[in-house]
Amino acid sequence: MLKLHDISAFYGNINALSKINLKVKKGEIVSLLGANGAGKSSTLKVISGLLEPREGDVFFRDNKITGMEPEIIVDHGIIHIPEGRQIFPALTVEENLKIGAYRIRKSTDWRDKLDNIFEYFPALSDRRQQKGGTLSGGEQQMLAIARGLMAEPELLMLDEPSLGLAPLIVKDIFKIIKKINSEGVTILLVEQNANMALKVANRAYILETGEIVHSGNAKDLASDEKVKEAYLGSTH
Amino acid sequence: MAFFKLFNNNPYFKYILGSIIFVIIVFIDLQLGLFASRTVNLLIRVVYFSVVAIGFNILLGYAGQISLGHAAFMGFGAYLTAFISNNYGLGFLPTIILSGLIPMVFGVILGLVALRLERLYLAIATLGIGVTIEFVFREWVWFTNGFSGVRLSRPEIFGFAFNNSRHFLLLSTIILFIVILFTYNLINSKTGRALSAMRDSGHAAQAMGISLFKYKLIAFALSAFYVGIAGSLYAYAERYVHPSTWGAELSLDMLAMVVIGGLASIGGSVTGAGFLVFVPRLVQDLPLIGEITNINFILTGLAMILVIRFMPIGIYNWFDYKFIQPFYIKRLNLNKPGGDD
Repeated sequence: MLKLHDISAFYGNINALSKINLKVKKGEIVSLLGANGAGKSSTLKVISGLLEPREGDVFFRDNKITGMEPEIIVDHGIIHIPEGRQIFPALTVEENLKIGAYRIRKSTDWRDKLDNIFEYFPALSDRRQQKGGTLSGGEQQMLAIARGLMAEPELLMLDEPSLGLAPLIVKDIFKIIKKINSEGVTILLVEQNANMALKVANRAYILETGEIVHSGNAKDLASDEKVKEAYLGSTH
Repeated sequence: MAFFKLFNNNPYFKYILGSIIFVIIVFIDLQLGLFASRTVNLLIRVVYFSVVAIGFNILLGYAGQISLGHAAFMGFGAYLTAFISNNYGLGFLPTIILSGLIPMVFGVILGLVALRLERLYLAIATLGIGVTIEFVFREWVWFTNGFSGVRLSRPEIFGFAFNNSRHFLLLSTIILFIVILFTYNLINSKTGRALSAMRDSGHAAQAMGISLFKYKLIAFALSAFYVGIAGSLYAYAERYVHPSTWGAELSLDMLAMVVIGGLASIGGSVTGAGFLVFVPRLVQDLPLIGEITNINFILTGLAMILVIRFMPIGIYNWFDYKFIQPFYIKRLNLNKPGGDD
């Protein structure tokens, strides 16, 4: 479904990604793991068009989408939920969700979609008229995900959904991610919480200073000694 | 009870009612002469500065873009009105619309600049426009008549001449009414939400498919249109346009109106315009303090500092939050306050 071919990207002269090759198949959950500055978020930015790669191409369903404007990429069905939640704090929960439906295809009514979303996230339903900025961290993350779902994604890219949340809430968020996936949305997940990410993912890629150093089945990676040592914090 | 409920649940109603009351008062004044003619002139100033403040608030409050050169658009609108009505003799309505549309084109050009610059740098670049525009108007003699300024006659609609300032107050109030209703609908539309999304988080807005290119241009174009229309009202009200009016002080006054009244709020814009027109005038009559030269600049600066320090949401929103909302909640035994703009 999604294919990155030899992607290299730079911030000024700083090399953020070098020759990244990556594939996501329809219906999968794929995790991108790695330490700070490894290039996980940059990879997502390249896919959603926020960062233009210097070399290489991005293909989505056999269409080349490299260098397209972000709003056109959204039309293709790729939705990026940026790091740090980034909900719109001055708008109400409902308005935030309406923005999610900004590029929705005309055939579906966004009101039906809204009702669906509130079934998914009952906590948000009670807070419809509340300003986004007044929600708790976990609720804001749910709102960010809900907002992404409003756009009817085929590929949903989540950047560190567990960032700064309590372990119990992280569990909830991952449960929701699984549920979204089971309803047919393909998911590309960036995480620092490697334990959690490997548990939900089918496959995973491990990034280190802008290069992919490991890839494979999530289960295999989780039991790989080297990976354990470097990313899962196992003690000998 | 039902009346209060309607008020609380639908802020739109509040604006319609407020505007209608204002128009009725002005109409009564027209018949009976309630206000002194000096007050009428001040009220006209409040009306056109309200249009300015609403336009500037779309840019700063809703879209989160700054401009310190918007006096240029107001001056341009005023000169256009004088030019069109003196040379082509068009009526009031086509003149005022043209005086909004042509600055709007220049607003789009400024928007293109804004695509490249952000925040502080945008402020610096637009301040450059704000400082130079006065000299441009001074030197552009065939259009502005240079240092001597231009005069124009009272407006006319379908043969009815607005010879009296009371008549003109009614006319400009109706225009403000239309502007307020249009803005309210705009802000609560898809476009309005996209503008606010751009202000709150550019990245997230882009990731949701909002084109920053498009909406920055829309924000600049709309605000230039409003400010141009206000300039046109200015020209008709004062019947004299002079280059020194459009200096950087006016651009900074626009900023002050929006900050003092309330960012991202229509009521706040009107409050801010009223504040900047009335307060210096009231203080001028006071003994001792009123004799200080440039007291209005000092007051505006002081008010901005105090508002930012003690009520950063602006006077209007602060008042609404402290007194009006609790009043409704008490009356209706509501648990949650109704949303305002």
